[in-house]
Amino acid sequence: MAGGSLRLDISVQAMRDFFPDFSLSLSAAEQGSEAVWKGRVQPIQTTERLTELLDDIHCERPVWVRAGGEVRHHPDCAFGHTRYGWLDGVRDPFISFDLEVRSSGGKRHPKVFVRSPVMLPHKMRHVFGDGSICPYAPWENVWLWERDTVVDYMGHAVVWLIKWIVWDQAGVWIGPELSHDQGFLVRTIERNQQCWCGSGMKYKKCHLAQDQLKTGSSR
Amino acid sequence: MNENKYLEDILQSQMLDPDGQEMKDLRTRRDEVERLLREKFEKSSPTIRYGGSKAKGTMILEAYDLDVICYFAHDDTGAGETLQEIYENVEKALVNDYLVTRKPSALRLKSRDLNQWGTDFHIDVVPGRFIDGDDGDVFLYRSSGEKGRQKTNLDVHIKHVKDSGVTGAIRLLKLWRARNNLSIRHFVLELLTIELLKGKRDSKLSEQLRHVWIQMRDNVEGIRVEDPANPTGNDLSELFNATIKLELSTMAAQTLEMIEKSDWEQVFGPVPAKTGSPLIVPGFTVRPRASFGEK
Repeated sequence: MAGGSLRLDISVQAMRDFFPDFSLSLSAAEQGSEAVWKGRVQPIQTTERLTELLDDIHCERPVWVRAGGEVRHHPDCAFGHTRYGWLDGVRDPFISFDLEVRSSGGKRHPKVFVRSPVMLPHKMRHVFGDGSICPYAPWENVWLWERDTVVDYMGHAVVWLIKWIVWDQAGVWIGPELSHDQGFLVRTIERNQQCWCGSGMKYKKCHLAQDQLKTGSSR
Repeated sequence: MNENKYLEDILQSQMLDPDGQEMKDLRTRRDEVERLLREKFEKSSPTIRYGGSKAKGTMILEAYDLDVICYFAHDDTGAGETLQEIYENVEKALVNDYLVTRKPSALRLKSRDLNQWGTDFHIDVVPGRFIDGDDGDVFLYRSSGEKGRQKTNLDVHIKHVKDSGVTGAIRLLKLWRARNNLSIRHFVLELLTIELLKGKRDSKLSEQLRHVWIQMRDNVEGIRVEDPANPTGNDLSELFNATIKLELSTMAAQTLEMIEKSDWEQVFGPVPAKTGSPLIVPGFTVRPRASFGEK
C-alpha cells in the first residue's frame, strides 16, 4: 500500500522526535514491512498535581503527554478537581514499562505490547486477544490512519498504562469502560464505522457477520 | 496586537537559524549528495548548483527544501542519451545511499539509515541538460504532461522570486498552504503571488494577503500564471488546474471569513514562544477515552 509506506515514514519521523530513546527495526509482515520500536516509558514521574491528573483521566479531560511518554496535568486545565478514595491505594505510581510498538503504516491501528512488567493473565484488562493493549474503542475514530501517527497512538497507550497502574494497585479501572459483549458491539457499532478489532476496516467488512452469528442477532 | 506586527512575528518564528542544527544538517547532506554525484558522473563533470526556497529567500521552517541541480552539458551523453535516461541514471546513482521518491522533475531524498528510516532530508535533486550554450537554459525531464520535458532556467527563477519584493507574503502563503494541506506546488504559488501583488509591493503584509485571498476567492479563473523562464512554452495549466483552483478559492474564502469573524491567530495560530531552553520538553495533548478490549 503506497499510502501506507508514506504514513509509516511520517510515523518513523514523529517517533524519532517524541520517543527518541526507542530503538527501531523493520520486520517482514504479511503485507509489506512493519516497523517495530522498543523502548521504556515511565508515565508518572512526579506526584506534583497527580490528583488532578488522575481525576482528568477519570473524567476523560485532556492531559499533556511530554516527549518520552511522561503524562502531566494539562497546563491549560481550568477544571475543578475531585480527590477520590481509591487514590490512597496507589502506593507506587512510578512504574516503568518496557514496550514493543508495531505499525505497518496502513489502516490497521498500531499495536503496543507491554513486555515488562510481565502481564500475567489475571492482571490483563482491556487488551486484545494477542496481548496488545486496547486504549480506546476503535469505532469512535480516535485514531485514523490517514490522519494520525504512531505517536498519537502512544499518547493513548501511556494513558492506558496509568489506568493500569491504578487498577493494579487500587483495584479500580479509572475512566469509562465499554463492554466487550458481542451483543453490545452489534447494537453499538454502525456498519460503516471501524471494526472493534483495530483492523481499520469497516465493521460490515470485518467482524460484523461473525458477531451476528455468535449472538444470533441481525440488524 | 497589531496585525502586521503579528504577521512579522510569525515570519520571524519561521526563520531557520543559519547556525542552527537544521541548517548544519542541510549543508552536510548537500555536500554528501554533491560528492556522490560528482563521483558517479566523474566523466561528465555535471554542473552542480543550489536552488529551492533557500536560494529564493522564501524558506519557512515548516516546509523548506534545497534543490541540488545537476545539469549535464548539451553534447554529453555520459549520463544518458535522453532526458528520461538522465533522470533515471541519476536516480540509480542515489538509490543505494538514500530512499529516493520520484517527483515530476526531481528526486526527493530521505534517509536509509535504520535509526532514521524515512527521515526527510529536505533535498530535491533536479537532473537536467543544458539546451546549448551556457546561458543557463536547460531541459528537465517531466514524468507527466505531453512533452515529457520542460524548459527552465534556474537563475531566471531565483531572480524572479528574490527580486519580487513580496517574499514576506510568499512565505506566509507557503505557511498557509502547509497548514491547510493545499496541493498547489510551491513554485506555482510563488508565481501566482508575484503576479497578484504586482503594484502592491509597498502595501502592508496584511493588505497583501487579503488581496491575494480576495482574488483567489472571487477571480480564481482569471488568474494567469506564466513560467518566467519560458513564458510561452511551458504550459502550467496542469499545475494550476480546476481542482487546485477550487481548493484555493474555497480555502481563501474560509480564511477571509476567519479573519473577519475572529482574528489572524485563527489562520496562523499563536506566535510560538521562543525555544532553546533545554528545560522545555515538547509534548502534545491527549484526550483520554473509554477503555475497550477483548479481555
